[in-house]
Amino acid sequence: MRLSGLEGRVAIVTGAASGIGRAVAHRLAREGVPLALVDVYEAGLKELGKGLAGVAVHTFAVDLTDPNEVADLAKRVPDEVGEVSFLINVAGGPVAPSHQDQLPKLPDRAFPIEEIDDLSWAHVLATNLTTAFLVCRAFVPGMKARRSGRIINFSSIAARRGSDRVGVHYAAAKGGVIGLTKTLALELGPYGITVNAIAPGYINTERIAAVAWGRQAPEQHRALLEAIPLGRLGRPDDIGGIIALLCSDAGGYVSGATIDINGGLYFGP
Amino acid sequence: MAALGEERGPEGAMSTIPIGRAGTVEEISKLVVALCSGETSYMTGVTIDANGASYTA
Repeated sequence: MRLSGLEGRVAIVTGAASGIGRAVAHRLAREGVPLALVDVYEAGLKELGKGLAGVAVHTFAVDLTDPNEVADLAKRVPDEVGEVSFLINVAGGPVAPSHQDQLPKLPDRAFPIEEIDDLSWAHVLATNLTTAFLVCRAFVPGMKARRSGRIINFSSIAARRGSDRVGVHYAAAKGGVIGLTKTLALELGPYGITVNAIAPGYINTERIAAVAWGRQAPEQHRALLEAIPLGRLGRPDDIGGIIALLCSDAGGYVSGATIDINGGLYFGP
Repeated sequence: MAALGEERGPEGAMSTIPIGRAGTVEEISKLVVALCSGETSYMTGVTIDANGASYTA
């Protein structure tokens, strides 16, 4: 489906080198959106860049938890790609990648609170909440100056209903993303900028599939599927299409919303 | 008693909407059409607020 209001406008997608971010990049490329793709995982970025055709694609290997690197990114993207219309903050996860450890293995079990040390709490909050704050802070001035823009942050079902899978650090960070999103929607509405959050459920990315959501036993996997009204795990493409929708003219009056994409597993306030 | 909205007038009502304007029929209709596409097939049971951030549940 082609959507109006997308072609030729620049998007920056963080966390683009794998999983949901990669699917978002592919979906926006199909709409003719020039892309600034950001991730700390350099090999994944290069591979993604080669696989996208028909639009300008620029990749940026950046640790988004570093305020200096984000500030530098905010200078480079307008110069090298163009003024940003769409900011898609996908970067995050239950682990903390860095330039030294770009693609850490995901945990195959949940961590009880007593096993979450101070450093891991700080790292997971930085990876999921501070990154969204830093990138929004860096790119909002340009959007305000042009009095238009779309920002989409990534929360999680872990923040919406709690989770037995990821630990309190991840759930708390993703809850923070919702507060950031709502407040920014109020703050930026007068500038014609919409701000929304996506709260994915169980999306079967390659990395997550490798650890089977910590439900390696067949009966555990079956129970998970039975709990999802649509009877299947989500696909990264299930998210990409909704991102395109929110960036398009169809999303012009949606702001401050947290949109649950979870196959009906949870839809609460 | 003044009718709802009468005291502030239309401009005053808009001031309670962060985006500062009413939505358009085109915005809602495009949203509805997009929701009918296969791309939203993993989203169900959801209420999407399309209100210019005037309510953020």
